[in-house]
Amino acid sequence: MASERRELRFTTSDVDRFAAASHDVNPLHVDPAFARVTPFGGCVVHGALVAIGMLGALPAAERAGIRALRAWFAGPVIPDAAALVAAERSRKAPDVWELKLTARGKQVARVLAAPDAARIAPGLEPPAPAAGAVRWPMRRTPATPSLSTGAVTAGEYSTDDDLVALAPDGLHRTLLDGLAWCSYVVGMEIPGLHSLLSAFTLASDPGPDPDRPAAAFAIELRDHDERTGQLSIRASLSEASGASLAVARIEAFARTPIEGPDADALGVRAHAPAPARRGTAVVIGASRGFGAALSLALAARGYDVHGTHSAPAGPLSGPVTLHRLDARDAAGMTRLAADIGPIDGVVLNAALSPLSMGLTAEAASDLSAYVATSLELGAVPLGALLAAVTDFVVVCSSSALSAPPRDWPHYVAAKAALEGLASWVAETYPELRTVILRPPAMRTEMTNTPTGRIAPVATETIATWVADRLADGELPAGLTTWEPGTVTAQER
Amino acid sequence: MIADEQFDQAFREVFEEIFGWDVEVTDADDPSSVEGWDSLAQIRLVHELESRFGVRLPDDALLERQSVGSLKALVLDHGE
Repeated sequence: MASERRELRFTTSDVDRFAAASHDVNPLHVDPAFARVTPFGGCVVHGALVAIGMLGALPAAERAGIRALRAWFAGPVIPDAAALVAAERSRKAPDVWELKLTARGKQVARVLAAPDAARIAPGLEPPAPAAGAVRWPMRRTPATPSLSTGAVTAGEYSTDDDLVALAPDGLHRTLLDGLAWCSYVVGMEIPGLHSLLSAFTLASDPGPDPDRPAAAFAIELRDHDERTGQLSIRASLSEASGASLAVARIEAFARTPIEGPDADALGVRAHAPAPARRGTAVVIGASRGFGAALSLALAARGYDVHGTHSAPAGPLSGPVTLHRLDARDAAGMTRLAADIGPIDGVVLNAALSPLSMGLTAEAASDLSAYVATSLELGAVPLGALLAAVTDFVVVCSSSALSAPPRDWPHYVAAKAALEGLASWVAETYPELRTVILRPPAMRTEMTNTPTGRIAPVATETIATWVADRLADGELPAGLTTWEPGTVTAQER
Repeated sequence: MIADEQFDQAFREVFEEIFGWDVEVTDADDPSSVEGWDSLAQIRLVHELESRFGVRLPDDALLERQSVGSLKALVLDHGE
């Protein structure tokens, strides 16, 4: 059977309207400043809104009969970016539809839609009853609950009518309410603020009456895996009378916020005498993560450190002078160079969050745009500062070049381009010590994903290792590649 | 040890749970041949296998790319 394909694009306004109508106002969707410092680097479309949009690819007559859904999300959908949805009848049962959404050359979401739950979602169970549980009013801000398995939460829930205007024509209101509610459960209740929706199975009431407003829900946390933060949630939605409207099993990931660098571990001593002055270092991309740790480590070894950052400053504080300046701002970087004067060393650490991507002919332009922007984040500061640098240039690459991650072809290509720039610097300025740094995956907000949190190295460990080697004077002029993949705390 | 057929059926159900009701895999399949088998799916797959078979797989299994057949062997190795 030929599949129907259509372009799907969600505007920022769609996302804001869905947030208002569903009451899932998690800042990952609606607050660019919050979303900027997540692994996505910006706001993402609610998964439930993505699923609703995908149902628009079904023939209208079939769409109206859908009462049960299963949805899987493999990557974020970005507002205003094009995605392609394909709808196909299932090979196993002709009344079941399979919908796939592709963006950035990769399948980012998949939905099975059926007229009844028995086909695709047998055995869904509601949460355990919690006698006497308090029914909380709807939240206006996301919760940050402790994630205790077995805990049951009950609350009020309703949707606004604008939800219908956002959805493809003909979708049953109870199904639509159920979808919005799944979003609310994850984004506002469990895990709330630091959440990622990864999958859900939703069975809505099969009756034909679309005029049954939602009023209350109950959710039970069934499982929480500490290694990855994966949660499994049972949930039920009901009318004011208590009659069931929907039952769901929801899977989500809880993200653990990353704390700022540990100054003690980096050698910063609050009351110790200042170390002997070694010179001036500029760190591009310095307010969070590895850049913040390396800035502190260099300061602790006697460098006057100037750090630039474009997002609102992170938790970095202490002996580093921060400049809020986008690394691609040529005029700003040129002014900074004039203000600072002679520079001993520069560290190029600014990077774009790499959204997962595949390499297809259609996605090649997304890939090259990522590479171009990443290269600018290094080339602009280098162009502005290089003439004033007398000692070292460190280009932060990645161990991903030795072991390319499957979903990051753009990241690998971008880091390779920056390494090319480092080779050029070493050849053109042979008196400088030029370092290509290929650190392993470190625990930063950029890698704060379910996979990224497994066995990452602390930024402090790598920052200390690098700062010690820059400061000890033994590094020769010319090009050196450091790949401190096996550094342990003892070795530093 | 549960019967082979029962084990295979349960394994199939785990793959259906993670990759969709319509998926059909053989022991030779791996992340390059199954649509949607990316790093996130690998994590969900390992969690689902652990929950279904009552085993705890090594952390490496969460990240490593393996065939369906070697995942089966891994589950059997870590079962009772």
